[in-house]
Amino acid sequence: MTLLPPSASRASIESEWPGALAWATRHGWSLSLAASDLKMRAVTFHPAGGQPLEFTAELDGYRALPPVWRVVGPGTDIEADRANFPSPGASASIFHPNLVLCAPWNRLAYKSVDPRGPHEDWGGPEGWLTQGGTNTFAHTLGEMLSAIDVFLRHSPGMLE
Amino acid sequence: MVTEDLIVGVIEVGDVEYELLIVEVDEGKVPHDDPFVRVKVFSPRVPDAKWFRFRKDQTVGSAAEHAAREFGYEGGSPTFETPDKSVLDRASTLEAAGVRNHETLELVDAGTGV
Repeated sequence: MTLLPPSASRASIESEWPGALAWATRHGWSLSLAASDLKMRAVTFHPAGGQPLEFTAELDGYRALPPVWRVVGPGTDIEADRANFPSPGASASIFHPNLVLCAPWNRLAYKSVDPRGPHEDWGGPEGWLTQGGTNTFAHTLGEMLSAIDVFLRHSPGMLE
Repeated sequence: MVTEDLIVGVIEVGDVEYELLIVEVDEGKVPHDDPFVRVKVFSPRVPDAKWFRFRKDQTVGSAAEHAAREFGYEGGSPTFETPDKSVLDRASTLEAAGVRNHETLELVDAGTGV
């Protein structure tokens, strides 16, 4: 696994933060960043049911590695259960029933990182910026938030 | 102005239409045979929008790829999202997709999850 000094990750985050924050403002999301522990939190509401939805992105190693994206229980750092995880709706959604965001830009989508990760065929997360095909494409934090937002609008509600 | 002579792409300082974009333009003053549409595009990468001029018969996908390149993207399946959160079909022309002159669009990706 690639090791990257925290200062390098912080520099990447700082360069992307204005775009991500502007996107969040335009779309009604709340965004916060704990630069000391390299963690971003994004808060929104499910567009179908109105339930609060929270995502965290652990950014150690970013951008040598993609963020560790998690859906968490509102106001917590506890990974969401099925009652707090969006259902996919669309046939090829990033909201995977394994309770993982299935996208090349999520470190947990790689089985080599997390056994819930649906993908062995993507190689390791070090190659996330070169993943192509028809997969969701997001190379900055703002684009990742945008992708989540687009797929959320296809989600009819929570898994349970 | 002979609008057929205009080129598609980003509208920046120095462009003959740049000054027109900083004022509210009455849609009724745009000639019906104008082959172009001018749109303001936001990207999640940077805070500021850019203005673009595209041909109305250009596909959404082609126009979005052009805009994406201007924002520094290399790859993906870009398309546009309208203010009412509709994601436009990349295969449609801008005209068929209902894109209007001076509309604000957001660059989004049309790729899939699994």
